[in-house]
This record gives sequence, C-alpha cells and structure tokens, in this order.
Amino acid sequence: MALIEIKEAEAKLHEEIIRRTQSLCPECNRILDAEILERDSKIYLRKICPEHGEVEELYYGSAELYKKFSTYWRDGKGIQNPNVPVDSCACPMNCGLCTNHLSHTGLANIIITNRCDLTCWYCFFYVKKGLEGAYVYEPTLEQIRSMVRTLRAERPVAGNSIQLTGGEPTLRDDLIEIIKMIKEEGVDHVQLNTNGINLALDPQLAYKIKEAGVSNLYMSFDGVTARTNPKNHWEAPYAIENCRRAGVGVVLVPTVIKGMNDHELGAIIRYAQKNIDVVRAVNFQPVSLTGRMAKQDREKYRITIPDCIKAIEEQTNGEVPTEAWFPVPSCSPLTNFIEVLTNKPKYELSIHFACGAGTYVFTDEEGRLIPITSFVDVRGLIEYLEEKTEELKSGENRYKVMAHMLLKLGSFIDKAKQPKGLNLTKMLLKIILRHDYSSVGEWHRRSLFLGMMHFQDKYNHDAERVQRCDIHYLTPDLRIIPFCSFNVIPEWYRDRIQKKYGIPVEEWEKIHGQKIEDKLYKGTLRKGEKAAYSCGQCL
Amino acid sequence: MPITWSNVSVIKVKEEGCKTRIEGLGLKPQSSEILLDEVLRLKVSYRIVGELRDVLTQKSIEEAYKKHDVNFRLTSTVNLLKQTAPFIYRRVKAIKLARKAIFYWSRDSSVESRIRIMVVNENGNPSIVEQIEQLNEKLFDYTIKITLLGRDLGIGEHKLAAKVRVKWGSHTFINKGKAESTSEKLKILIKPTSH
Ligand code: SF4
Ligand SMILES: [Zn+2]
Repeated sequence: MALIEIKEAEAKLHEEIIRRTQSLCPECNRILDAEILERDSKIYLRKICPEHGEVEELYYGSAELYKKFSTYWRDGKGIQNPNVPVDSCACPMNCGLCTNHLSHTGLANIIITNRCDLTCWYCFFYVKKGLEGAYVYEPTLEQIRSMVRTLRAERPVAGNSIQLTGGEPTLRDDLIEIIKMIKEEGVDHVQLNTNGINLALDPQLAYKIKEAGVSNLYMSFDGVTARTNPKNHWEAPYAIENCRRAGVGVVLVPTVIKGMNDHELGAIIRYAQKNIDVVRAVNFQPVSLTGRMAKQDREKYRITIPDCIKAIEEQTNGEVPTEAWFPVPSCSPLTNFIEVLTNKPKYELSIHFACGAGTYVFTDEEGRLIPITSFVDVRGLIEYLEEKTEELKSGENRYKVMAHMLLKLGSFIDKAKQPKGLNLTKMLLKIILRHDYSSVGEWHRRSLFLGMMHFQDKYNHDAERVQRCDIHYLTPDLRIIPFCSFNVIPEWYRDRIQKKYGIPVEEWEKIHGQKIEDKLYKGTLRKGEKAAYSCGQCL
Repeated sequence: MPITWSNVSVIKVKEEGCKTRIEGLGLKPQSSEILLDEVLRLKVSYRIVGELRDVLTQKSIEEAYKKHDVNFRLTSTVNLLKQTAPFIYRRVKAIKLARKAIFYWSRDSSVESRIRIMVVNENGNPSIVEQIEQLNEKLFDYTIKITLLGRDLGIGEHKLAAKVRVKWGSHTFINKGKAESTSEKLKILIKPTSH
C-alpha cells in the first residue's frame, strides 16, 4: 500500500460523520449522497460518484464553530405561493422557487446587464466577446418590472430588497429609470453591486443614484494594496468619496482567496473603520471555486468562514475575536418575537447556519474596535427572546411579557462598556415594544457591520444549504432562483436563462451602434495625477 | 426569599402538564463531610416521564414540522435549598438551564423520514439523534453538577434538598405545562478548616 493511501486510511479511522446530506458530482451534476464529517477539528464534505469517484472537500475550517453555529438552526416557513409546485424533491433541479424551499427572499438579485467595463480573468459573470455563443443579456424595463412584481407578490412576506447586479450595472444607460421604477413598485431597499469604476469617474453618478432611490453600493474591494486589489485599488477611494458627498452608504465586498488576500482582512476592516461615516459594512465572501479545479489547487485557494474569522482575530490583535461572531439565523429569535407580538409575518433570516455569519463593531476614542459582544450578552439575549416568544405563543398575556422585558432587557447590556452616546436598551425597547426603528439609524451610523457569506461551488455543495438560501435571482421567465443554484449550476440556470433572453453580441452592437469594448475601462485613474490619491493603506 | 417547605415538598403539577412528571429526582454529594474551604460537589439527577416523553414520536414531530413548529424548548430550574428552621428553607443556589430539540428537513436519504432532530443540551452542545429513544434520553434525562464552597453553607450540619421545576410551551403535540419535584433531604457536615 502506498504511503499516501495508508495516511488516508488512518485519517478515516479518526473521523466522525456528523450529518448526512446530498450534493452534486462536480463532473456530471449527478445528485449524490454526501457525508459531513469531522476530522482534525475541521469539517469536510465527502461524496462518491459511481462514475467519477470520490470528492472530499473542506467544508468548514473549525469543527468547534460549526457545532456552535449549528445550534441556531431554524427552518423557515418558506413561501406560500411557490412558482414551481412539486410533490417530491429533486433539489436543486426545480428552482423557481419550488414548494420545498425553506426561506423566502431576503435579497433579490436582478442582473441588468452582463456587460462589464473590466475583464477580470477569474470572472464568469460577464460576456466575453469572441467566445462562441456569447450573448448580451439585458432585460427590458418591462421585463424588470415584471420580475419586481413577482418578488412583491411573494407570500407570506413580500420581497422588499433588491440588488442590481451584472456584469457592471452602471453600464446600463437607463440605470436611473430602472431604479426609479423599482422604487415605484414599492421596494424599500435597492442596492447597487458595482466595481465602483464609474462612480469614481463620475461624481454626479452617486447623486443621481441616490436621488433615484439607491440605499447603498455593494462594492467589490479585495484588499488594500494594488497587488491584492488590482480591480479597483486606485478607483475605490474616489468612489467612496463621491458616495460620501452624495450620502450613499457603501458596503465593501472582499472576495477572500487563501494565499492571495487573506492576510489583509484586518487591514480591510481598518480601512472601513477610517471611512465609517460612509462605509456601513464589510461583507467578506470566501471564494467559491467555480469551474473545474484540481484538488491541489482547491486546497491552495480554499478558505472558509471560520478561517476568515480566525484571520480577522489575528490581524486585529484580538479586537474582533472569534466569540464576537454569530451565524445569520441567530437573528431569528428577534424577528420571531416581533412576529408573535405583532401577529404579522416578518422577514426571517432562516438561511443555513453554515452560509453566513456576522457581528457589529464600534470604535472607541483610541481607535480600537469594540465588538458588540464586549457590551452585550448576545447569547443570553437570544435565549431570553426565545423564551419570551414561546410564552407569547403559549398564550401568556402580552402586557405581562412586555413588562418583564422592560425590567429585564437592560441586564443584558453593560452600560459602562457600551459606546458613548449609544443607548442600546432604549433602542431595543423601542424596536421590540413599539416597532419604532427610528433609533436604528444612530446604531448604523456609529457601527460597522462585519459579515461573511460563503457562496457554494460544486465541490462543497450541500443541498441542505441551498434549500434554505434567501439570496435569490429574479429572472425574465418570472422564476426566483437561489443564488447557489443559479451560479453553481450555470448550465441549468444562469447560462441557459441568459442565452434564452439575451441576444448575440454582434446583434447587440448593431442595435446600439457601439462595440462592447467601447465601454471598457481605460485605467484613467491609474495613470493620471489623481493616482497619487490612494486608499491610504498602501504599503 | 425563603420558600416554605410545604410549597415545594410534593410534586405539584398544574395545567395540562399534569400527565407529565419528574421521576427519580436524587441529590447526591461526592462526600457528606467537607472542610469549610473545600468545594462541595453535588449531583442532581432526574428524568421527565409521562405525556411529554411519550408524545414525541417521529409522526408527531413530522406533523409539527408541517405546521412550522420547529423548535421545542424545555427549561429546568434547579434550586438547591437549605433548611434554616422547621418548615423554612433558603435557596442556596439556583441553576436555570434549557434544552432544545430542533426539527429540520434533512436530505439524508439513508433514513425514511425527511425530518430529523437535533438536540442542543444545556451546554450548547448539539447532536443529531438517530432514534426516538436517543431523543428521549438526550432531552429528558438529566444529571446536573452543582458546586459550592463549604463556606457558602457555614460550619455545622446542614439539611439540603433539590427542588426542580420543568416548563415547556404549547406545541402542536402538547399544551404548555410544568412539573415540579423535590428530592429527599440530605445531611452535609461542614467542618472548620484545620490549621
Ligand atoms: S434549491 Fe430550493 S427552489 Fe431549488 S429545487 Fe431546492 S428547494 Fe426547490
Ligand atoms: Zn459524476
């Protein structure tokens, strides 16, 4: 037996299967049974295709965090009016959403163009001219309106948050019209997923999108050096400054790749902290390894949520410790409590615990980061809300519950340690008892949200995760498709839909009297005088 | 606040939980004599039996799941009481703990049922249960450790007892309810620290 085989056999002796699920074969898309197993304090996903053999992939970099986060598992109600009624389950083949989906839409993506002004080598999202079957996909205003109406028709909770994405959505000449139309349809939250180049080049654009109704940018930002962030290192500071002037919030979105930019996570947070008046959040996205990739390459680049959390702890000198992070569904007790209290369906953040995590940080006078857990007993508060929700559901007098809450809520908050000028007890009481969200603005102005969202790929695909996904795509055939179906199996969803509703590149060029490449970014900010004005974090 | 023994000495079951009871409540010390500066280690063990235990079946859980009843929470309050005068008891220590059963839709094709159960114990440790017997054990059988210093009781002989109260909310498979029980009294001798 070769040494490597002995090692593998020994490793398997020391592993424990902790959950069973289903996944996909990365070669043939066959739906396979899969095991989630613990080994060496890490979590792996393993599956065997009868034709293509075994695939084992790192699923979660810390078994301890996996277990802690799993305790927040809460299946959502899903939607009452699925577009794809199914009797049995062949997930993820029926997306639309189907009867079996367990989360309503939290954020709906609309791709308004697949053209881009950059040509990043690793990106699969933009049209590559010259490739056989290259299509420009740009739904019409009326198609977009129908998609928005499909979202608003979702029951029991009407979708209320849209992200315009691409390609690069600012390349659409009718962008402002699109935003205005979405607002007209009653959507409260509209965010723009962008590389920020056009917002850097045109200071008026930020004012225009703000006026049309955009709440914030969701801007790619992979690092604080030109090497880690070649995409918009020189442009991001201008985009941020223009947003600052126009009053548009910015969420920085680093895609984290092991060995590429995972050493700069702390510096990205510091950069956001410096711009806390305009940067509302940093949402780290551990890389999703799309396309075919050899095991050794996957091991080289694969990074998971716990690995990022650990790196952040190290790179912030422990100011943002691992304990500060909670999985996304840990918010459910608060929304469930308000739902029971008001007797109205509320947004539930019922995604799978392994999909995302988050925390809030503040800044003290010395510029240190103060995580929410340093002045709030978050776990205790969650437990308390769960208990009170159950009492209400069991018929307890609501005034009695509210009176208890008035007395008790303050005990979860260390007033001496909470950031100056912030009265969290008051804010929570207003939200919970009066459903008054006016003071939340102050919280958002003072805090920085740190988030993680790990989109899947065919190697680590877990059907239990995708079934609970709440980040969806709206498509012109009026389906609502979970992110990790849309992008992980593009041959079933993204590419098929874009081909069906797109037009060949040559035809698009003829209609619009321009070439796709006319809108490519020429690097003006990298060359001119303004290049000296950098992000302030360059080494 | 003193609690009168008459209030706590019998199993008091109210509301719909009357068919559920606490069984085998025991309070055991590691040692019945300790020095003032030593740590007194006690074990409280009990089982919840009756309706609540019986009603949780794969079928009732699946029915619950269909109605989006996906999280069962069971709280226990364990009070360690010390007799201070005839019929008068003082609470020395109180521990509140919660266990949860989370019902979720699994894609595990090796089992027939699509709904699986994860139990989270009072220490926040999760485990996915394979059979209902396992669920019963993990959710309804308790052994709780209590520690206190000899100094917390003071020199002399003390009569201690554990009073346990469990509580649950309304679900599709059971109405809200509670059950209480108190253990037999136990004598502990705290001796002065020898110099
Ligand atoms: S991912 Fe959701 S919508 Fe798609 S097939 Fe699975 S359950 Fe249905
Ligand atoms: Zn295969």
